[in-house]
Amino acid sequence: MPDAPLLRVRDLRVEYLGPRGSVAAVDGVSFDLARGETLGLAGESGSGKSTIAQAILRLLGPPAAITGGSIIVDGAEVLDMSEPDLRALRWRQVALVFQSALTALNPVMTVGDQIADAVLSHQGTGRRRARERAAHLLDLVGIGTERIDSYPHEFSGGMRQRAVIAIALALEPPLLLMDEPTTALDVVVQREILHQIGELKKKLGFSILFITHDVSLLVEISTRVAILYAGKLVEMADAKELLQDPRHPYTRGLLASSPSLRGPRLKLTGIGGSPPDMRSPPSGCRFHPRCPDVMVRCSEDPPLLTQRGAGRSVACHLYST
Amino acid sequence: MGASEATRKAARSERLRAVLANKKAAVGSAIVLFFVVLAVLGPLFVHEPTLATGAPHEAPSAEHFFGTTGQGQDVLAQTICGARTSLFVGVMTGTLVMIIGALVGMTAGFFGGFIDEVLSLCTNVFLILPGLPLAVVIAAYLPAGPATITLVLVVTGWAWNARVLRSQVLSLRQKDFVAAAMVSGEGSFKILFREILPNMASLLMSGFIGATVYAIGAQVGLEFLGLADVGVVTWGTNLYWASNDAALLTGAWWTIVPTGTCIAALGFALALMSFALDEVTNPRLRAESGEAWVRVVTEQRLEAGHSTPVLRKRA
Amino acid sequence: MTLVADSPVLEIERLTKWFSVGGLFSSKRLRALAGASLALHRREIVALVGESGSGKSTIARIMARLLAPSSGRILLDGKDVLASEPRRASLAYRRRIQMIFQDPFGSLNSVHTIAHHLERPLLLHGKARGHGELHDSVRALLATVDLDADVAMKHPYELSGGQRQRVAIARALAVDPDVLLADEPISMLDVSIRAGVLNLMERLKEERGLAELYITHDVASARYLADRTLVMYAGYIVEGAPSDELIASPAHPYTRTLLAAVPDPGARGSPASGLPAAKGGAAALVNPPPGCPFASRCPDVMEACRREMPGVEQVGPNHWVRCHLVGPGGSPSGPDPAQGEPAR
Repeated sequence: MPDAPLLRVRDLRVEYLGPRGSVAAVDGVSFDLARGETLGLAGESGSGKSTIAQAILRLLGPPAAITGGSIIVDGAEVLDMSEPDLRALRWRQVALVFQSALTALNPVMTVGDQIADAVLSHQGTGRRRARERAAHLLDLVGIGTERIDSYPHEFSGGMRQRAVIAIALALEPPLLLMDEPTTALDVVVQREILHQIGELKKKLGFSILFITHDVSLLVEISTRVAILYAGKLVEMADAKELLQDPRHPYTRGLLASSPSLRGPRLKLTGIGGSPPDMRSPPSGCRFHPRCPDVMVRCSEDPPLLTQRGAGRSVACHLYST
Repeated sequence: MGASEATRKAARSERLRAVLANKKAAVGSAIVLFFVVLAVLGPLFVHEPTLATGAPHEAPSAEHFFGTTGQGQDVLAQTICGARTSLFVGVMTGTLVMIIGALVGMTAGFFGGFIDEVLSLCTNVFLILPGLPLAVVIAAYLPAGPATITLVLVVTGWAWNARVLRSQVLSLRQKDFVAAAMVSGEGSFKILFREILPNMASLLMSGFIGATVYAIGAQVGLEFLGLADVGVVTWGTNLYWASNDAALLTGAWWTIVPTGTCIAALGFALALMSFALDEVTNPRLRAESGEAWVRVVTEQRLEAGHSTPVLRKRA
Repeated sequence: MTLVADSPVLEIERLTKWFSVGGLFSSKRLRALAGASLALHRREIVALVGESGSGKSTIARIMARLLAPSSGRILLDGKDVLASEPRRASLAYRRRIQMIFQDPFGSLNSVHTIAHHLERPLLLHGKARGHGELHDSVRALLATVDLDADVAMKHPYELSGGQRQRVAIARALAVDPDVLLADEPISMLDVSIRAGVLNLMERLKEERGLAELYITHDVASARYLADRTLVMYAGYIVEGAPSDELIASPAHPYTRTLLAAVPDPGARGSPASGLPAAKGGAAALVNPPPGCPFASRCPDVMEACRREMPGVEQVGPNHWVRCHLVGPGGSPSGPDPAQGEPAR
């Protein structure tokens, strides 16, 4: 089925179980990711964006548990998979690039060995072939094959992140999850890494789920953007449309929080209040305590994510008839 | 201010509850308390331990609950009275090691530079010196007795604690709140004692507990070797005399087992308290936080492997 | 001697800072600052923009006298501070120069209440005496930063990142300073909270006539908040101009690289578009080679760049740059780094 989405998430619910009840970090999130697409997932702290990425690969440790919904990767339900199935899924179908390359890389192994290891553990091809593949990947990500026996501490921040991307691409998975991959890097290096990712995407044709708090960045590189708030999806649209016509008050607030480099110097309003305590989230619409357009209904009735035009969904009572 | 006052009180009592509810803390402190009471009040209820009140090496009986030693002394009395000195030396050593370690470690870590170099050199030298031979040598030259034992243990034991505390001060010193205090105009000593020290409370406590455990064990060891005043009744000297009177050869196990059990029990209790302290101060270690997850996973009979489990709520 | 509004409150001249690295017997030295000069005036916000390792935090720490410079002068109201109080900063200095830090979680001591944090500076500088005055002053400070009075009895862990940062600002304001040094105050806050803190800083500048130094790696927020923006690279301040002018007509190749790299949602397209001409990568700060530190990455590098560091050249009435591309390619007598930010 060529048109079936590569990743289909429906009503995903992830909870952290504690002694005094559980906290739902992700509460009923649904979205699709088509082949060859870059879907941007934007949110601040407490939005659940990182939890989603790790939940897709079921990498969350205790006390996390997935308590509802479905995650279908290329037709297969991840939530029904056994351990061996999950091992086959990870890195072969879906790979994850973490934010902190420093913690993702083993300081006492050479970079070449780490890439070869990824190849070997998910696809037993033999040491020599794995090493050849590692060299090829290093070249592909712009590090250069001569650095194959270097240690992570000998690399700059940008190169380390490229190494992490090389590891993620070891088995050429069709889906790449990237969780704030450039946040810790300086702006110039960030631009280079993003350029590199774009080139790799053109060459290898993978899809990307790009997670970050930087909406301006997402709008530049994504096909579509989804906005998360307090564990729920509040708006989803084509990137350009979202920028030009944000509907949800949170999206508008978020866009009004980033100063622009060029263009008129407008007064930034930001959003008043603070992100909610996920242990006891606000009733009804979770954004209502901070919403400039709040209505009576908002504190009682949680709005559903509804389609409002081609490719656009919003979860807000302002738009319900 | 009412609402926040209530929240604050609630938070405080929650912390207290966490401490008390912690099983390890409860068990550990109960045992330690038992020994403290035993050491303080116990000797009032037994015979004079050095008096020979029965035949040598009598097995436990109604009259002598733990039997008698090779010299006909009451083992129960000896065990209980021994607790007093052993505990005192242990706690004394623990306290002194903590204080010296804190002073040296904090000074070195906070002021850095030349002061740090000198103090660290000192600390490292004492760390390298082999403890037991040094203890033997010092004990051999000084008049035997609990005071000497305390001195010996403090001299051989302070360095490790100092090093650990220095590390923590070094890392705390980098924190912005220390820089902010300096920018406010706060003086160095005020910063050290008002800002840094309170953050080290748990490390100081665990240092104290660790040093006390070490002291009790090492003290017994030294006394067993005969380096103490063998006339004083302590757990160590009990074992010394038991060995001297060929307890194992004659099969008089009761001269060794009570004292040995007490030492082990106290050490165990202190270790439990140390673990409990770690758990309370580091919420990630708390057993209770993982309990709910483990319970649900077992209830639904899921394989608790490395992957996130999927729990389907049955309506 | 009347203090004209035009004369700077706090100035640094030719500040350098070297650190020895690599252990006891190594001769390696890291050059954190290579000769930086800037001036802060009342009712003005100056932004210092640079990447990590550029030396911007080092400048702030030296100005706050948390660190001693290897050479250079610090002038408070024109008077040489390092000459009059070489060893430790006086309480008088501390009263006038305050600082807020990047990490809202690290800059408050978790064992103390907010009230304690605010009371300490009040007591140290004699701003309030006795229980009643202290209580009122704390309440007033919290109100200034838009926090409720009941925050005073809370502990840091009960507050959000944005609230903690406001407490940090309140603490700085407790002594009624003339200068506020802000080291990346918003970079660790949630995006939606940042505007509030920036607006607060702007308001304080207007209401109290503070001189503020805003250190950041984000050029866009520098433009939003600051009247003037200075660009730092590898220990040098390489360009300075009014914020809008810097963005409209950047003179230094590094500034141009930086501006091209900033995400601009207006420019839709794949990341392939707008790749900066200069490559990324840190400059060599340990035992650095002579000449301009940007030479190894500069797309317009010339012979002169590797020989000596360019001097200050004016490219506009308030716009200067240190680059051989502008003006004479290095004067024979050598550049005068003191010309960085002339006092008006």
